Amino acid sequence: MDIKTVQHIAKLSHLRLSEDEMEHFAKELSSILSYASELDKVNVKDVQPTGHAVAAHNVFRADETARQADAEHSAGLVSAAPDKEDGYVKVKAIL
Amino acid sequence: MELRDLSIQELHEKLAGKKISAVELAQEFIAHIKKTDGEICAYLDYHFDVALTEAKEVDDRIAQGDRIALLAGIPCAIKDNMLMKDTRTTAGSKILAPYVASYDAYAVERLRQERAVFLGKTNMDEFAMGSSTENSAFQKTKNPVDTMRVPGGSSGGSAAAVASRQAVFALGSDTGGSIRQPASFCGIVGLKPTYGAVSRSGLMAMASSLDQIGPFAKSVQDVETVFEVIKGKDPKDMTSVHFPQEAPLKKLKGLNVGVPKEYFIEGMEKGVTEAVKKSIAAMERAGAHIIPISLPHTKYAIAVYYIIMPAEVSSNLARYDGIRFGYSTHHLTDGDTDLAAVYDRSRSEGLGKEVKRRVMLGTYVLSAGYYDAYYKKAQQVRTKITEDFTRAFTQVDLIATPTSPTVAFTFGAKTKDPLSMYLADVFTVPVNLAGVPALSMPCGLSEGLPVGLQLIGPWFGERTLCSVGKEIEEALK
Repeated sequence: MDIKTVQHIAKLSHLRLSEDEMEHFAKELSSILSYASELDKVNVKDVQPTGHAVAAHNVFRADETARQADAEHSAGLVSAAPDKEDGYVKVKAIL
Repeated sequence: MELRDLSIQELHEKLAGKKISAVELAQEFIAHIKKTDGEICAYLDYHFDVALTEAKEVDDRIAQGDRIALLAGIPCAIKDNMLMKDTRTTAGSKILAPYVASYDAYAVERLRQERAVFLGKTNMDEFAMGSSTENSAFQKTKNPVDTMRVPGGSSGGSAAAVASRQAVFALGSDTGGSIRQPASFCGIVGLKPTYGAVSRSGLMAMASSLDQIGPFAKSVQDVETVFEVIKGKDPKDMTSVHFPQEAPLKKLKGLNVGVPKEYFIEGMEKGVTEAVKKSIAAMERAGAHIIPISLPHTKYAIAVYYIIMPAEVSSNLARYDGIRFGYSTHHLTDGDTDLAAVYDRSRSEGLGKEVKRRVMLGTYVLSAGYYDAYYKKAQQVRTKITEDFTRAFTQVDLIATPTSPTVAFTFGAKTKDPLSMYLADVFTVPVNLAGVPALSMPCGLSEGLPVGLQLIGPWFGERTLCSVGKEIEEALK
């Protein structure tokens, strides 16, 4: 994996890497990926991919409010945000 | 025998029979933690004051003549990637150092309903990524058997806490071996349940299709007791299932035990092979039929795992962006402060090296043009690995293997080369890919260090695993 690819992947991952880190990752990721090329030896023609160990399909529940203390629950979630105001999570301007 | 060495059942009888109080029991553990944890470093946070209040409530109930649950008043520890209401929950990461959970994980909630006493949160590899607990952003946990060595990982703190008698039992999580391998390294018992048997609600997601919560304890019986409490369907985790009624319990006598040749390979420690073979011989003497089997796709498991796991990691850890919880650079005023900068800088400063490595790897294998070559291919080989187990379980009742190819290694031995650390998971990873349950239990020593025997069962075969595990404990005594 070349440095240019590492830069591109870092951007997609929302990570800023130092030059030193990028060099390390280029080497380490290449070595892990070349190990993964072992899989080319397996014949997977017509094999269905497995996404989950337990095949659960269309898990439904009744469309009703499940939690009595919903307000308290959401207040708890918002309170964990580093920046908030009046019960809302605050972010920098996006436009 | 010390109070701290007793089983859950024995402690329960002492509590219910008013031989000791729950407060005295909690104090005993707290004093022991204070004496030993300066060296072991199993815990990230202690909850001693709350623990004593919880214990007092159990004593009040006993005084009122109430019948108490088996786990009531029993001191335990929780891996720090499970949420506990109103307490700090870090997952061993700097990015969550300031995070306080606002609700309980389902497994924690179940223990709370039973009135277990929570001593604190245990150390772990950052976001459960590692096999030695050396990737914690906060501290290195030592193996209580030999403090020059790692306790294993990623649930190293929970394993060390139980092994050093700082808790009666502990919860861990297992994505590729993170309960079984530390149990093996520390000489205790650990159970990775069937995928879906325990709700993942409130467990910080690492790789959602593989993660599973399970217990650590000194004995198979204790592990089973805790599992019986935490299992069950939870509407908040749509992959959790009703645990089916199992077929009649099987005993060692007449049991078909498969021994896969792929789990006895070159490069394994001789003492590990010997200890595991000895315990298989003990099973045979107790009346089990030992059947050589083959799980031919085992050798691809690590490659499959190191594609699927990072792919899920890269997606799951996108939520740590400095907006909703934890460490953030939002307050900086140095000009580099737009929304994208908050994301990038919070993540870059808050996440550790191994986490970044896996996020990068996962982002790469999921990126345009590589999806079919890596991710889809890995999912297809995952199917082949699962089919190996399906086929094996038409022939045998359970499978016996070593938990890890080695005993506990020394600090720093594998941190330089990530791939060598990854390969240490070779015998535990296939179990997560297939979603089957597995138990690791002590089966002897190699050069003075504990060796783990891994028993792998068919889907929802936990009760047979535990029943056979108890018989093996007796046979090895």
